[in-house]
Amino acid sequence: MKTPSARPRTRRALDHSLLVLGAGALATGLGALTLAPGVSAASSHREAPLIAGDPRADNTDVYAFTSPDRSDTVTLVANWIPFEEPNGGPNFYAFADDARYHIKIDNTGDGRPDVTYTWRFRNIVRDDANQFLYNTGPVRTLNDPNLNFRQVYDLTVTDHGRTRTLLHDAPVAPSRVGPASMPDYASLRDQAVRNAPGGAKAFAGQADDPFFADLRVFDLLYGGNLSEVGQDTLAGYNVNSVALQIPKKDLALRGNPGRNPVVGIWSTTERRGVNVTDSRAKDTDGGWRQVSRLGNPLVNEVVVPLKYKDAFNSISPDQDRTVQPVVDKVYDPILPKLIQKVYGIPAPKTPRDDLAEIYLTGICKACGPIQADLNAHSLNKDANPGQLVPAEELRLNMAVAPTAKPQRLGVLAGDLAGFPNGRRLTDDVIDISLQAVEGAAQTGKLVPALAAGDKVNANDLPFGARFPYLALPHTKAVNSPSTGAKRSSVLHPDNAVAIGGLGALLLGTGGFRVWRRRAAKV
Amino acid sequence: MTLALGATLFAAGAVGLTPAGSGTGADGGPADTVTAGARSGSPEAMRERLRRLPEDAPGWASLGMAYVQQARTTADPATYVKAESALRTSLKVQPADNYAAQTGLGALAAARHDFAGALDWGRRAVTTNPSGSAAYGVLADAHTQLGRYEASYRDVQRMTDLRPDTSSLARASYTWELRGDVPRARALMKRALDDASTPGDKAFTRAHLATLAQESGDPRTALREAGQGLRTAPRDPQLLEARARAHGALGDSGRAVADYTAAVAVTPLPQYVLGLGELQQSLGRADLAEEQYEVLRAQDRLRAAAKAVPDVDAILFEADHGDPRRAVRLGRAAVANRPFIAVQDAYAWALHRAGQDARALPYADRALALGTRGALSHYHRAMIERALGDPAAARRDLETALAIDPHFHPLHASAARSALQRIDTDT
Repeated sequence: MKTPSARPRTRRALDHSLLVLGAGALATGLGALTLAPGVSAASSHREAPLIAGDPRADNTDVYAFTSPDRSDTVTLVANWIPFEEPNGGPNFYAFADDARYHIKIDNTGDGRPDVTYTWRFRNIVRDDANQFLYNTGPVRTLNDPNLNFRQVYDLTVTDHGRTRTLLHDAPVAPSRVGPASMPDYASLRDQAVRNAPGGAKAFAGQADDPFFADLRVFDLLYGGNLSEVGQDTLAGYNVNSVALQIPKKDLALRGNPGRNPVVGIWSTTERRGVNVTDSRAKDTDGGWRQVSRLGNPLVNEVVVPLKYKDAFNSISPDQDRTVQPVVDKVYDPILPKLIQKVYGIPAPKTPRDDLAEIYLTGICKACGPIQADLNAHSLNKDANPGQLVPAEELRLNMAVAPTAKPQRLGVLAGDLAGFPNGRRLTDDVIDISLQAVEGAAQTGKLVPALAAGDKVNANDLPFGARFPYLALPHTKAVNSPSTGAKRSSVLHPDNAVAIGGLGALLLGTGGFRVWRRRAAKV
Repeated sequence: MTLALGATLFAAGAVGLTPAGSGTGADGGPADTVTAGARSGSPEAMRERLRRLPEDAPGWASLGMAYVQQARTTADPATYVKAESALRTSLKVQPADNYAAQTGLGALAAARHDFAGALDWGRRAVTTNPSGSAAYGVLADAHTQLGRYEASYRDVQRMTDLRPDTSSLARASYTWELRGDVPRARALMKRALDDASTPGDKAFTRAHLATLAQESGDPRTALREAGQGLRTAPRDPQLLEARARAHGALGDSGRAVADYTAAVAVTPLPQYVLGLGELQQSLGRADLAEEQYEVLRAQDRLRAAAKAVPDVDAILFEADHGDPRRAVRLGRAAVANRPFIAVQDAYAWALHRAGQDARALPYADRALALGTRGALSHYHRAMIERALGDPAAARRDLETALAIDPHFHPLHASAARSALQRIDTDT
């Protein structure tokens, strides 16, 4: 690092101050010495925080797959608040009660939501005097008097402008704060799975973070290589999830998943806005503001240029095509060029019509070079071709039957029920994405030099066989030796606060997007 | 040298010497003196990453911004140097489109009270990335301090439209506080607290909720807010100061002195030192007050040696406890650099103390032109008005000051009551 010019000046000032100060005041001067010049310039001007991380609003992952045990339904999962440290002591993790959480479905292909599921959470503090205590004794039911802080939620669906309430005051599965407080957490989880009208099921609460990856893969973007991989950066941490199991006909265009099996899926978070400029306005808030959006995994890492990430987060998929630099990067991504530089693997020729299929249109023979009719909205028989627009969504063909033995590489391994046809909990999206940017979807051949990928091939916990499929939250502190996992230095949780803070700081720059999505967040 | 001052020295040394990023050590060690705000950032982890990936421009920008944020609470000037170095490195690695570094340099300029520079960097950042909310925060802060309030409200509106989070909500709260709409300011600061996710942000929002209550004459609420904040950030200086003021207003001078002393020990910001000194003086302990004033004089000598622009506390201190004519000189320089209402108020008071009341009045008016509910500013103007022979105006302002907060200042609140009595007796 270059020595900045300010240093000599400060040094001079300090030396000078020693001369200025009389000997009698020397002790005082020493005290002031360490701090004073900056101190006297730092007071009285109110410096509010500038980088406020918002992990409760920033989407981390979205999953969508045909339910393996109820194949007439689709399961949708969306996550927030990554890197929740188990046994966080006084820390527990709640959804924001002043945000709206959405999972949106586009079944026409116009980039606009046709069906929107919305979660709104409400806090209930049983004992205001003890509001700093999460629980005051063992918790055996979601309604247990010992559970001091609880959340409930309303789940609504908006379809063609009409909003219906599916669940009212449904309970949230609490943060798993340890075996003494919650001796049978599985039973609490079961109590939080609710039936909703029309054969739907819903869940909201804490779970093991199903995402598995060595996030150092993305060092590639910053001059690194893949020499340091093989550790699941997410192992041992929990997230807050919402999950919904919904009949396919509720999602399909015209209610007909047979004729119209393809849906596009993404999740957003909105926070209530503010009115700052108009003192006469009665409405003191300024409507709802979309602050986060997520469809395809890693789209922010692989596709969206840094300076457009904030814009991308604020818009709806139907506007994606108006941000030309983002579209350009789909056709001409940077990652393969970096891989070529580091590993000498030639970057596939541009324009990358294959990636445009994966991210923007869905895959069909007529859509581009990938020889499959898989999950483009144009495959919906009732789709209006004039309405179709390129839009970043996680697309799922609901007609593809679930696979008995899912392949972690999904479509690239011939398993059409996995990413990028929707996304299952077990799909290895890091390795799939790496292979896809190297052209594997187009050629049908995996790139052998990158076959190992991030060397993390599965989640640290097995997933369940029935809804919500998510593994129960971890209970061992991640840095506890008993987990046996050596943490990477970047993430070394000497303390939970550091992780949070680190994320918070990275967040505001909109910088390292993996971090924004995964590590950051606080 | 008394215990209080000794503690100051020790803590000052500890803060100064603690390597950045080690504020994560076990409780009780030197690192524990670092505040919640500093703990929340982990520049250490970032530096580790940058050792591996020195070409990571966003990483350097994040590290720089982390240092700026850390300095916000520790006020350690060495941190600014580190911040600048990291931010310049980021710009060197990626000169084009580097809005994160531009935003960081804007925040750094503002922290060093170079508001024109902050404005310049902020404008570059929003040109690069019109959807990034933090850069609008830089613009808002600079516009506010430069007295361009309408522009600052527009910046904050844009900032909250992009991202209604703790940092933008806290600024939205402040815009209403400046305009005297305390209920709205309180409601928005409460939202900022609810959305706060780091210990530093929680402490900041709690402290301002306490201050909003305190400065509306509700020290009980202030005590509760500060107390709740201190449960999770027991050594946060702004919360300690807030609780000290609440204790003072409630007549518990022992606890007030203890909290002020603790705040000074963590970070001897002039406002804490002045607060403690004036509290001691109000308790009749002239010698203990004088010790704090001596610290302020030493700090001001260092500031002058560094050719830094004086700040509000230095002006008020010089006006009330030093040489009023020097306070006028300091105030003139400050108001030229930064025509913010608090500076207008301090300059007006310096002019009054130097006997130049006719010149003082327009500045006192400007200090209240936004409609801010500031008891001290009303008191200052009242005393100017009285000196100018306008007892009716003086009475209005004295009554307003005492109605807003009967305990607005350890020395001036009782002076305001006496002045009011004298006006009543005279008329």
